[in-house]
Amino acid sequence: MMEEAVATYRDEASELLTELETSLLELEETPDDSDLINRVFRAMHTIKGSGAMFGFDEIASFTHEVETVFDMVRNGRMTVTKRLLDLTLKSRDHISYLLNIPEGEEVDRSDGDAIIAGLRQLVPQVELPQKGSPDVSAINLPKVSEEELANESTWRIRFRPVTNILMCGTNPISLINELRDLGTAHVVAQLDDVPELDKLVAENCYIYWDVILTTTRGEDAIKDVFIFVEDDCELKIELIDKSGLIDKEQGYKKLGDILVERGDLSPIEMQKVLMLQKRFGELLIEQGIVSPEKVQSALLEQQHVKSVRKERSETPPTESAASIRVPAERLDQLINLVGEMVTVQAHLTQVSLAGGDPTFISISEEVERLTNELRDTALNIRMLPIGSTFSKFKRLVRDLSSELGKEIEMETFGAETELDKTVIEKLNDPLVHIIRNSIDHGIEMPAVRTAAGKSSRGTVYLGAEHSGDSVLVTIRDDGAGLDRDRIRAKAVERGLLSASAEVSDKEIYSQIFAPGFSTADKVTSVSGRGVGMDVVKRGIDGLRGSIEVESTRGTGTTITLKIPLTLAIIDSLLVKIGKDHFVLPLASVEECVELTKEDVANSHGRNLANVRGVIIPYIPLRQQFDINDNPPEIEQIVIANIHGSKVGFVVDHVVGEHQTVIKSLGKMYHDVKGVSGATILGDGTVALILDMGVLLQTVEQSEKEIL
Amino acid sequence: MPLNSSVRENGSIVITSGDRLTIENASDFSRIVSESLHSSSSVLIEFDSSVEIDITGVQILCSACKSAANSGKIFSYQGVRPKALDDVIANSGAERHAFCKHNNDSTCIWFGGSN
Repeated sequence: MMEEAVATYRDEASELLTELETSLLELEETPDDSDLINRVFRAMHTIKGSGAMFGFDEIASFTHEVETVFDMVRNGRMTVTKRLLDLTLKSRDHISYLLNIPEGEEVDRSDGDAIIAGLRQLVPQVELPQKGSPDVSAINLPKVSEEELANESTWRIRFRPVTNILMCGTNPISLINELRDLGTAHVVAQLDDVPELDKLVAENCYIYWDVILTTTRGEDAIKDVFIFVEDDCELKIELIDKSGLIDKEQGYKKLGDILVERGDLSPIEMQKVLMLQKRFGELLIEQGIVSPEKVQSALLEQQHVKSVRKERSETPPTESAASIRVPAERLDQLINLVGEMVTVQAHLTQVSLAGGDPTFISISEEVERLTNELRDTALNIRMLPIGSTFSKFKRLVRDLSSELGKEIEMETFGAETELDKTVIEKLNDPLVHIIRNSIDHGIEMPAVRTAAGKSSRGTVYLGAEHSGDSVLVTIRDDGAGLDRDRIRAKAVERGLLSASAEVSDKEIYSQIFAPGFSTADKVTSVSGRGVGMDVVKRGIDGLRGSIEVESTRGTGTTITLKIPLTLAIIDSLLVKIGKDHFVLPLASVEECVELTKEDVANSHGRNLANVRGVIIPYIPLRQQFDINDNPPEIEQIVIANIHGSKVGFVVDHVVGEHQTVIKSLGKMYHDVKGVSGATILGDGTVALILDMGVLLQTVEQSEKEIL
Repeated sequence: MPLNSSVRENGSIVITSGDRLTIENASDFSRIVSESLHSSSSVLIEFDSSVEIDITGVQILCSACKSAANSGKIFSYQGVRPKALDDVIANSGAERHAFCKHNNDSTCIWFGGSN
């Protein structure tokens, strides 16, 4: 149980750290934005509070220091400076390190100590925020997010411990502090039961507590605080306010009503006093009916709930985000099961059609419809907005530009564009390499930019948008652009291009993705070894995506990555060669044309087809896969668009469109080129999924070797 | 200086806190304060600057304050008020600015500060 809670804390803290980084980077643009400052504070506060609860004491104590500083910023006692943001971003990294340090490994505190020292220099007179009950006339509640507001409740808690609680080794103040960690609490220790000295047993506890707590955590979390003392104490937990449920007025109950509700005053006594028409609290004290402490406690509750309601009324109403946290593995399992179901459904369709029974066919069609809906819904569950990774890249730009002495900002668009979570994870490395290259080689130094008539500050744009069944991820910079001639010369020097070849700009630019290709004169810590862009190519190929480069010298470079929405199930074209089935991803397929024996004879072994006047090279897959039986009289060419060029793949028959559930190949097949996976067909046979880009590359390579 | 009491020339008693006013010596502290209030009309606590105080210390101060108020005697402190006292009062939620009926409707010098 505790392990689960710790795992949940790690997940939540990681999300909060991402949110923290985003907020800090936004704060750099608008340092006076109080909402952002509050978001930073609350993220720190939650990381600290939950950290202490789940045994991450190192995180709790470190975060406390940073939170203290941001509390001062929040209260207007400090301003946001670049130095403060630098240190806070480093704090975020340090918390991330502490969060992920393996159990038993010794904690390296050097970074944390340096950060805290730096923060203390910024605020030489750091005052720790005082806990305890403030003046009731000035209750300021921390701002909370809309989502949190939707789940927020206010509780009245009376905790009267057993008198020997101290002798049992329990410190009630620790329990009160645990309550404080759950949300916003106002605590009043009631001292009226403390007797005079002659009746006092010094080791006994006579104090009892009234706590007004506003929290999103629910009653169980409150009860959990008292789990070890609940049998030995008087504990009363009452819900006194909840967003959306109880009366939505900004105000709150009158003082007398609260005291009556608490049982501290009878309704008759209240009526009597009301007749006197003085301030009710003063009258109660004057009459000696209720002690000043109890009146103060009730007033505190009144002010607390008023503040909570006021804040809620100032926040625009939103739909409550009903969401649950599910481990990614369970989603993967669901997708696998849906995949199996799609396969079985294909089998069912096949059998029902073969049987010809109309009732059976009708049921099979209904199952097919439901399976398709289930598949789409299941795949949608794994979709995440790509913007969740954008803040990481903003941070990369910020840190690297500072390291290189350049002025660069990052602009993003299409953050809400959704992609399969696995695709997002695998996009990370390619994007890091592309952006590092833009910063190091693309954007010029400020002086060079100014001399070229540009703004000294360069911009890297990162955006995403939907395009059919794919997402286009665009990385654009307004830097120097690619040096076409230099890339060509380098490609010729490395034997990647022949000196006399007539090639398009796109083909020349695509050379930058060759392994080890670099035109950089010097290798920097950022890039220049010719390793990064090769990683990009391999990464994007692995995602069955494509890369397009456009560049204008002096103006900038745009790299567009075309990525399929999901990796789990794809639309494909099922083809047959001999007795074997193969699958070609439909996204790249443009058309199918016939290839007769005459066409083959006319091409004189050069594997070129004339399709409506356009010469298209083709690859006979029979030869590639050593299938030796006789081909049919008329074969089919499946024409695909690969990296902007049309290439044909010759097969015996085109069976038709197919929903392909992708299964990865075993370790033994990792080195097989041209096959990216396999799928199970309705009749249980296996069909290989062809990687057309790699097949083309393999054929080109073998032809070069022959030449 | 350890937990102890001494009588001044004017008859008031000064109790030195020592380094702790916690459950371990709560009984002694309570006894010394009680005896002092019985024998003098003015009892003052002199805190060690690094004194450790827990909830039992807070209760004894409150209890002594009530006893002194009821018998018309003075129970206060002299010297520097230790941070540990303010911290334990704030942490426990005992801080208040209301008048205390046990203290002749005056603001409590222990839990309400000077305001």
